[in-house]
Amino acid sequence: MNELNKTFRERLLNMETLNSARGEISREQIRAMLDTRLSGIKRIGFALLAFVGFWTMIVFGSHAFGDPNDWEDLVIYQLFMMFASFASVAWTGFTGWAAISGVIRRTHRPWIVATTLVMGFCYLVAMMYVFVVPVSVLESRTELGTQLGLIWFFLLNTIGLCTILGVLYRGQYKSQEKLLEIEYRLADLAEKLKGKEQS
Amino acid sequence: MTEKEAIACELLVLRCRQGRKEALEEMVRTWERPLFYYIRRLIDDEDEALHVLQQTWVCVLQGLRTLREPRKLPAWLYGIARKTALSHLRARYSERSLFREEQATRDSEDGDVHLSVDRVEEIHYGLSRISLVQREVLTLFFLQDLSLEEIASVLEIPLGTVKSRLHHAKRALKAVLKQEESSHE
Repeated sequence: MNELNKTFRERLLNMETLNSARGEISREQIRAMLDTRLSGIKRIGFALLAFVGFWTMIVFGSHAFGDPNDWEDLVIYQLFMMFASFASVAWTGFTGWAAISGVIRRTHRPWIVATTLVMGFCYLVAMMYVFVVPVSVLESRTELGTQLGLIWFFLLNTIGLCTILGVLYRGQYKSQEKLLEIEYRLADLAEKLKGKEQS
Repeated sequence: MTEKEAIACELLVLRCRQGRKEALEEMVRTWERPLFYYIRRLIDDEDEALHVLQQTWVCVLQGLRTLREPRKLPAWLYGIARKTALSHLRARYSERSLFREEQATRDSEDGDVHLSVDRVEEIHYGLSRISLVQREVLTLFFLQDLSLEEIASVLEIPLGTVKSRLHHAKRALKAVLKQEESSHE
């Protein structure tokens, strides 16, 4: 594209001006269109999730910070309950906000998905504590420790795997970006050299 | 498009895919005006054109992850803008009426196809006087963001058809400009 053509293009584009105020309103509307608007039923659904999250937060919180029972004095158990109660706070916050505002913001969407997955996992582990652990604790305290250790091992593995995948994903983007930046500079340099040669 | 511009497009797409706000804003800032110009050539009403532009951006931002060739970003953007504008227009006009309009203009034109780029203002207003099909191909040509092959892919027609449409469009525009000149004299 030579200079004359560039000027022509610019002059042509200037013939159709989009004033800044209207442009800003338009951009605002685009942002709003990218957010997911919730129907009445979905809002009720999110309100229910927030309600569940709130009660879970209280239950997990009381186990994490309350007086320990005979087998609840295990550090591993209390650590899990702390983790679960913090996850519940985040989940309650996101789902509650979605229910109140009636909108899921584009930036909030991955957080809602992530906290929901974490909560699903926490419920599974909590079920184990309610139904499996009390039975086995009567039999052997060593077995209980092994079981809790395994649960934690699984939880930490999952978190570790997700973290590694996230790091790899970001690393791939970063290296790709760096390569493109170098490629861009080389193309820029080649263009300048060509321009010099021609002049 | 030069190699450098193509790399810049890929870089921009990559940054947008990472969800970087400044990259998204840069994309909107860079392409808002040409896309709006193109859409305005397809849709007469300014408010409707603005609405189509908004819908185009929503489609673009939602589909950015599926873009296979980031270096062909301009063609992809114009393609989405075109599809959005056409689906908007389809509600108003039938394809047949658009085609008739094109034929009528094609049959009536004559003369030199060379257009002076100094007459930007006249060309801009002249574009609104030629048929939609011709206006569309000529606008893409004038905006200079796409090669003829890319224009063919945006319009979903063969390269030969693009060339012939372009030729007829230039003749039509030239005739309109001549007509304007003679009416002023």
